[in-house]
Amino acid sequence: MNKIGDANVISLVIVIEVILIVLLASAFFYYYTDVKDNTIFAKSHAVRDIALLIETVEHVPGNIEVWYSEPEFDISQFTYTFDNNLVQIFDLDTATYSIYYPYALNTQLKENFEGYSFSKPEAFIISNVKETLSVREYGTIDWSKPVMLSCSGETSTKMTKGSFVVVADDSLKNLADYFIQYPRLGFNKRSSGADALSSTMDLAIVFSVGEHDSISIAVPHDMQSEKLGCLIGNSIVSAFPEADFEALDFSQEKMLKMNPHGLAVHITIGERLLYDTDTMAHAIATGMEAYYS
Amino acid sequence: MKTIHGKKGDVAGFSWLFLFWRFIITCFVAVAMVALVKMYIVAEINIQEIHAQLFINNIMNTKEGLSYYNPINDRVYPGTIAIDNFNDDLAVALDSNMDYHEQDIIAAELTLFTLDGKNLGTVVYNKEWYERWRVLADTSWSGKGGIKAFLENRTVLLIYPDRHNEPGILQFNIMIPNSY
Repeated sequence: MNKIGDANVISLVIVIEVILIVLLASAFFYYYTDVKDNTIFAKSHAVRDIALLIETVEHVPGNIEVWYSEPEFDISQFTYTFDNNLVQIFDLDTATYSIYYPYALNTQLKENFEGYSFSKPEAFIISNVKETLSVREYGTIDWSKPVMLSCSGETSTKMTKGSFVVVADDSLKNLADYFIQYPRLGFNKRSSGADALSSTMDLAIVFSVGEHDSISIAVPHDMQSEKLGCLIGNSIVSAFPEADFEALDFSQEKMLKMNPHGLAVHITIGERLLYDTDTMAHAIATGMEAYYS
Repeated sequence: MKTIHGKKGDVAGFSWLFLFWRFIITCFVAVAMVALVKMYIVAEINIQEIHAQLFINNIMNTKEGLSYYNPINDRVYPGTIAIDNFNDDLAVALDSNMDYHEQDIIAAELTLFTLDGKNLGTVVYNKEWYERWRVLADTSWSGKGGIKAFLENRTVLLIYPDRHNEPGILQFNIMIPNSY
C-alpha cells in the first residue's frame, strides 16, 4: 500500500467514525424523546403509591380519609381499575396493556370494593370510615394557595366587650356553645339565641348551614363589621383551603341591624365544611381575635 | 500466500492495526456513553423495602391481629403481644387480615424471643409461599426470579398468661419476590 492508499483508508475510517457519531447522537435523541413521552414511570409510580395507600388506610385503627392526587404528573391521563386485589393503570386509548401492583384486603373490613373502574379521575378518596373501606372518585383537588380577601386596614373602633350574642341553627348548637364558653374573647356577657339580640349588644354573630363547601359572610353596611367579617372569612379559608369564599355580602337582615353601633356578622357555613366543627370554631375565633387585637 | 515484506508492508500493517484499535476504542466509548446514560435514568421503581416496612407496621397495628386488642374499648395496643395468642390461630388471622388473594407478594416468618434470646414461638404468614421462597432467598439471585429477604427486629411488650409482662423481641423475616 502506498501513501495515497493510506490516506484513502484513513478518510474511510473518519467517515465511518462520523457515521458512528451521527448514529449515536440519533440513538440518544430517540432514547430521550422515548423516555420523555413514555408514561410507564408515571404509571409505575402511581400504581405502587395507590396500592400502598390502600394497605395503609385499611390498617389504620380508626377512621381515615386520604385524598389522593399527584402533584408531579396528571393522574387524569389514565384509567384505573381496582379488581381482584390488583390496582391496574391503563392508557386511555388501550384497555389491553396495564401496569399493575397488588394490594392486600383486610377481610375484617366491610368493602364496597369490587370492580371499581375510574376513567380520567382528577383525584381519589381512599377511606376507611366505620370499618368500611372504599375508594371514590373526586372531581378535583385544588392544590393552589387559598385566595384571601384584602381586608380594610382601618383601625378597629368598636372594641367594647360588653355583650356578645350568638344565634345558630339547631345543627350548629355545638358551634354556638363553643363561643359561649370561649374565654379568650373576654366579653362581660355572653348569650345565645335570637331572643338575646338587643339594641345594646356589642357583637352579634349568626351561624347557619349552607351548601357544599361554600362560606358566605353577610354584614350590614358598616366598615367595622365589614372588617370583622373579612378577617373571619380569611381565617376560615386558612383553616379550610377547600372553602369557597369569594366576597362579603351586604345584608339588610333585621338581626344584623339591631344595634347600629355594634358589630354584626352572619356566617353561612357549607355542610361539607362542618366535618370538623372544632377547627371551624377555632378559625372563626382567630378572625375575631384579629379584629380585637 | 502473499507475505508482506519490507518497509512498505510494515507501514501498511501498522496503519491497519492503528485504525483497527482506533475503531474498537471508538465503539467502546460509544457503548460506555449509552450505558452511563441508561444507568442514570431511573426507569424502575423498587419499593420492596418500603413494602416490607409497611407490612410490619400494618401487622402491628391491625385489629384482632398480632397486637393485643381490647374489644371493650375497641382499642389496639401496637407492640403488645399476648403470648398465649401467639400460635397457629394467629397465622390464620393474619392470612385473613392481609389477604392478597391470588397475588402472592409477601410471606413472613415472625419469631418471638425474650430478651435472653429464648424462643417463645414462631408464626408464619403465607406459609405455603414462605417455604418456597425461603430456599430461593438463600441463593441471593438478584434477577426477576429471585426473592429478597428482609430481617428486622422490633422491641415488643410480652404479656404472659399470668398477666405479668416483660420486654421481648419480635423478629420479622420477610420475603418479597423481585418480580414486583
